[in-house]
Amino acid sequence: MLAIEFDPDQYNYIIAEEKSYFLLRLSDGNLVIFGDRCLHRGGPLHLGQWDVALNCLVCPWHETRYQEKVIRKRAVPTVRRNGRLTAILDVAPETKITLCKRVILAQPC
Amino acid sequence: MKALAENHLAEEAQSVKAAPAKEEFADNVLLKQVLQRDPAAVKQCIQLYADNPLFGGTEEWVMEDNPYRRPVRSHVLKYLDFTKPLAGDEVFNYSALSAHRMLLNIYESDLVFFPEKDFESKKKDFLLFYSNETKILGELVRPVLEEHVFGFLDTEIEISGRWSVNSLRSYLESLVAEHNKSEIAVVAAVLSSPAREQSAISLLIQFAMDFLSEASAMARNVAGRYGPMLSELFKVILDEYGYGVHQTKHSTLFEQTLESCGLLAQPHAYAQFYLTSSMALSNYFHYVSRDHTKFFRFIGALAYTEATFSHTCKQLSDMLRKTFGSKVDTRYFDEHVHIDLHHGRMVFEKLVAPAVARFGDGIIEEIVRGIDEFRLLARIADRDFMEQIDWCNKGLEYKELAQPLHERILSGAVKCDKGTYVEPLNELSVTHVHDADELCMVESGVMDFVTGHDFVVPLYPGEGTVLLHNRLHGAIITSEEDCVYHIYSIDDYKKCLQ
Repeated sequence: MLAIEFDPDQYNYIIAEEKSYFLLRLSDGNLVIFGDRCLHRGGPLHLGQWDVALNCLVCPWHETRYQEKVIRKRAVPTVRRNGRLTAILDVAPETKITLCKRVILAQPC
Repeated sequence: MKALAENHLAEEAQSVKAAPAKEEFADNVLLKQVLQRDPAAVKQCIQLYADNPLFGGTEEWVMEDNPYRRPVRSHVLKYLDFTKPLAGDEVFNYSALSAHRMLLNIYESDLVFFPEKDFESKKKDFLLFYSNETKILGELVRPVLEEHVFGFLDTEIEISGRWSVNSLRSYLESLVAEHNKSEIAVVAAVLSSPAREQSAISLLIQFAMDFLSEASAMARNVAGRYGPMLSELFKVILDEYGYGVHQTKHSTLFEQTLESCGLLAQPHAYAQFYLTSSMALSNYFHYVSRDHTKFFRFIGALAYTEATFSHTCKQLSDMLRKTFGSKVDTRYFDEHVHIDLHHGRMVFEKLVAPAVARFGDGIIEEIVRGIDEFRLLARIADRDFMEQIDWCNKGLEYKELAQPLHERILSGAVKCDKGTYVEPLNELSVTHVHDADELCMVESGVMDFVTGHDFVVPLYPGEGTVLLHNRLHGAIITSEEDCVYHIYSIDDYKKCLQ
């Protein structure tokens, strides 16, 4: 496991070598960190769309759907304090981390 | 055109029939005549294309690791007329086989192929295959050949009435439902064949033509700019190309299927055993993808293919396991069973329906045409394969018919033309078809009569075989002494035996 801390206003995308994650603000305003690879075929979930009617994230490749409750359950453990986010990533401690800012299409609001 | 005689194309053509004299190449006149479909000019141009040394004869049934060499049997083209479309009942004729072989070469000159090994020794072939001269000639004759082999589709399929996207959706759903209840004809043919493994291999060889470069025709439609539809099509290609991971590319999975069955996984290694109609299926996608005026036919054909391939692949996968047991790698087919459930939906909902919304109901006729042209070609291909497997399986029966037929010819009861040929050891007759039945009788020497990969009937002196019309076959001389054999043009062997 690896704990990282960063400013969520500055960065919204985390690359941990083979894995990547993106920040997603849910309908209640909560900020979560979610894995970016769709479980079906690895599609880039940060480029998916939020289906407002069904309240779910839709993968852009094959439209696999992730209900908000599933996202909450599978989100990376995080703590927000003083405007900074600490996330516990399920990767080896020596994993190289890159933080960046990307266009995130998948937003509920 | 005059320059053609002076460039490396003519330099390479050492063992090929003499190239036309320079004075026949009046640049503008020949070009105009070809465009106007003047039969003599068309014939000359096609001959020039086919006389390319890459498309000449070969000494082996299997072309190992050279994607550029594809025999078309150019020496018989002068007897064929490509200037008119074939009728629906002529689609297995020799001119169709020749035309499709040439079209395959023409279309694939847009695709990138490299041999696996020894590139330096094949570099001349590589340069010639992709040379401007080869491409220009191919481009000149392409429309003629396309009209010849695909022209019948215009008359076989008629679409009328006022279509909407809902009626289109209903129509496609009904076709898919019908297909998904069916037993796949070629699967049944393999399972019921007494030579089941060889028949299954023959089927894999038909697939190899397209699956080893899978989605190349489709990829022609994602260059350019036409909005979200392009990106939706790209998603299908993303899947086909394994997300950029070579081991999961569909063509790689198919390579593993071939290798697990003891076959080479190199493009066109078994080109001589491609049936005319199998080439038609593969060429059709290039036909409607290369000419973007046929884009809507392309999406129609794609919608049907993607929506039905899952069911087909399930049966193919089961058949391969029944035939080869656990050694066969069926992941190619298993992958399609899954992913085409998505592709069927994606192509219709994200390509076809948006296309109609954007361009109007007027394009639906073309979409339906694409669906039905491909369906028709697929049915023809099924029939071709079933008849070929039957022909392969009955090799000894057709051999036994030779004696009684020959006796009727010798007694005068049957009158027909006769040709006599003398061929040395290892002389290979590239696979071909005849438009009517013929009888081959060996007078001396020995030949292996070949009707498919591993379907061989040896013919000794005094023996022969019926050459069934429209059935692919070839031969190779296996005796030290020259083989003398006779070909009788009997037209219809059954009538001759009455």
